[in-house]
Amino acid sequence: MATILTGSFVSDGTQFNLALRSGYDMFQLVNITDVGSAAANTNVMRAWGSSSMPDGSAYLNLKTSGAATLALESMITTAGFTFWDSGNPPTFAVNTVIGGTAASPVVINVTAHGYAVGDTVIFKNLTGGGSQSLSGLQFTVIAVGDADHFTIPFDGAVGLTGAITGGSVTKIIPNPFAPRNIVIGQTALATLNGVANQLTFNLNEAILNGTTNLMFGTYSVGAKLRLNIPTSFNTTTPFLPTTINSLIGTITAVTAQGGYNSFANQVTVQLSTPIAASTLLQYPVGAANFRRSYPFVSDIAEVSTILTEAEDNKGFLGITVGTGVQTTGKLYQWFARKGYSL
Amino acid sequence: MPDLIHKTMAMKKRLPDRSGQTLRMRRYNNLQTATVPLGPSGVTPPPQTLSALDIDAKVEWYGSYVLITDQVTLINEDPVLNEAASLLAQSLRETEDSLTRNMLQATAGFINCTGGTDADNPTEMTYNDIQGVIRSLVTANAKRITETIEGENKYGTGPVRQAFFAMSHSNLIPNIENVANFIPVAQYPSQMNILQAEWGSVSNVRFLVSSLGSISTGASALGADVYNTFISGQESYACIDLDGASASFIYRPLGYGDDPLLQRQTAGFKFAEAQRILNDAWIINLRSTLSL
Repeated sequence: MATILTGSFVSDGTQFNLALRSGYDMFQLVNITDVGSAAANTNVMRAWGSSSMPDGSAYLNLKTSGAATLALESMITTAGFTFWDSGNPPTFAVNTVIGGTAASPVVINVTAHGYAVGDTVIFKNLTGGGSQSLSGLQFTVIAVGDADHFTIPFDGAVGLTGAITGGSVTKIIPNPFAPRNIVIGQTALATLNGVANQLTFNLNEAILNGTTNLMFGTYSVGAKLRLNIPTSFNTTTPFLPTTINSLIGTITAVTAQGGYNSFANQVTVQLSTPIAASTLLQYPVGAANFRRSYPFVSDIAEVSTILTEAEDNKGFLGITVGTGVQTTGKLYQWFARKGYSL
Repeated sequence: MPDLIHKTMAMKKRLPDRSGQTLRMRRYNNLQTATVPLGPSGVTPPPQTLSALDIDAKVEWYGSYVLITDQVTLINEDPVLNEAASLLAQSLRETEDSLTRNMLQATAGFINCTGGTDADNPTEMTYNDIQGVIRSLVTANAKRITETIEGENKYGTGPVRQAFFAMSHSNLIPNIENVANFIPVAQYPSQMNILQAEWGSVSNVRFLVSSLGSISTGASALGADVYNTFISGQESYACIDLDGASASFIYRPLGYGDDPLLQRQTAGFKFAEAQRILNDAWIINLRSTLSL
């Protein structure tokens, strides 16, 4: 191994990303806090993974409970280490959608989905409950119920006429440039929030930088957005006034839709152009509305006083350290190694 | 070497060195017209307020290199270092092109093709879909990039309108040729001022194609690949170089650094660049699938 890089962190128990700019081949963690401890716990003492191992896997040594020794080395296949090169993103398996709830938010049932909170997924060939129009759209996974269920930021109670009954879903790595255009996919698409010329709407994807996702956008308060509402959406009842299409607004608030989680996807914008009072903008559902262009927001300009919102390449080369290879509150030293091929 | 089409229509801007990492560009908004007579009262009307949009682009550094051992250069018949230099140049330009493509794919406003018959969303590209983009661009006051190519008395040719440029993947060629009113390059009345990657025109759009064109894998409603065609007016996006770092070829001979036995030499490139849409109303990503 020709190159060694090292550092340390105190675990907060959450998954995080570590940029290793030269593309390292091996990564190792060592628990510093518990060295010599005979306490009654099974904390993670040592973990390592290589770039050739499957995403999320690791070799692991836990502490023997009640003794200052290591348990036998074990293996995990999820929540371990994932080596990333967003310039050559991996492809992921297509999973079959068994079903989805017509609730707020929508919970999707996929056997052994393997997704983590913050992942981006795209649906295809959805059936049931008018969900066909959601096919081809990207969503951020905002919660993981169990190995077979995950949640997306969509109000199925309003946006679907019944349960989702089939289809498929795939995890993807979104384009690294940010802020990206993001589809306004929520059924209760836009509401007048009682303040003059302000609109609040929900996006399919999270928009703030997160520690668990590499590719979030960076929309924040003060940035200017353009609302793009295709003509076809104006013909759906109830509808948004045609006058709102292509208007520019300044973001006044960024929040999490319905308090689902900490992944912000709800934006309030102050429009410079007066708009008429309106009812909710409905996202058209069902087979009859299948073939449409989507409404979306696009970033157009920056906070006028500070340089915070430059369009940026957020491509990432490094490693994701999962929750299964660390114990909360413990100090870990890490080593990254890179070698030459013979 | 593939045709590099994505920077062709970009404005070229420079960030002076020692000016930080971010270039701030400012576009002032149009003033209202003044169609009401001042009248005889002598009362001064209120002034208009200037307003502007600030558009920032953050320069990033990119680079790569190859490592060549002494034995490779001594044993191989080929001039390996010369070949490496050529390949690095190609990699540099393809990297620049891909960065611009990726930026456009992520941040350009999009319209799905819906006029086709392939039962997917988006559908394959049709004349009406292209007309929808032209309408949006012209309504947003985007300027066409090329002038009209006037008709001439040549058999089988037809005039080409003043046009926006479209940047597409070469896989779309059959679908583009299948669009109503398509005019191939060979049927332009004049072969002057035609770009190497140009394939033809439809209405007010001239198409450039490349194997480096943009694809969103498996992103259609039925899971097919979605092809992103960027249709651009003048000055819709920019590529920004950092003064003194636009492109460097870096060679380190045998023995450089930690190499006591003169075993390794390296050659590489490095550059700093930013890409940015300047007016999102002047460039549109027309998303389509393949039907042919």
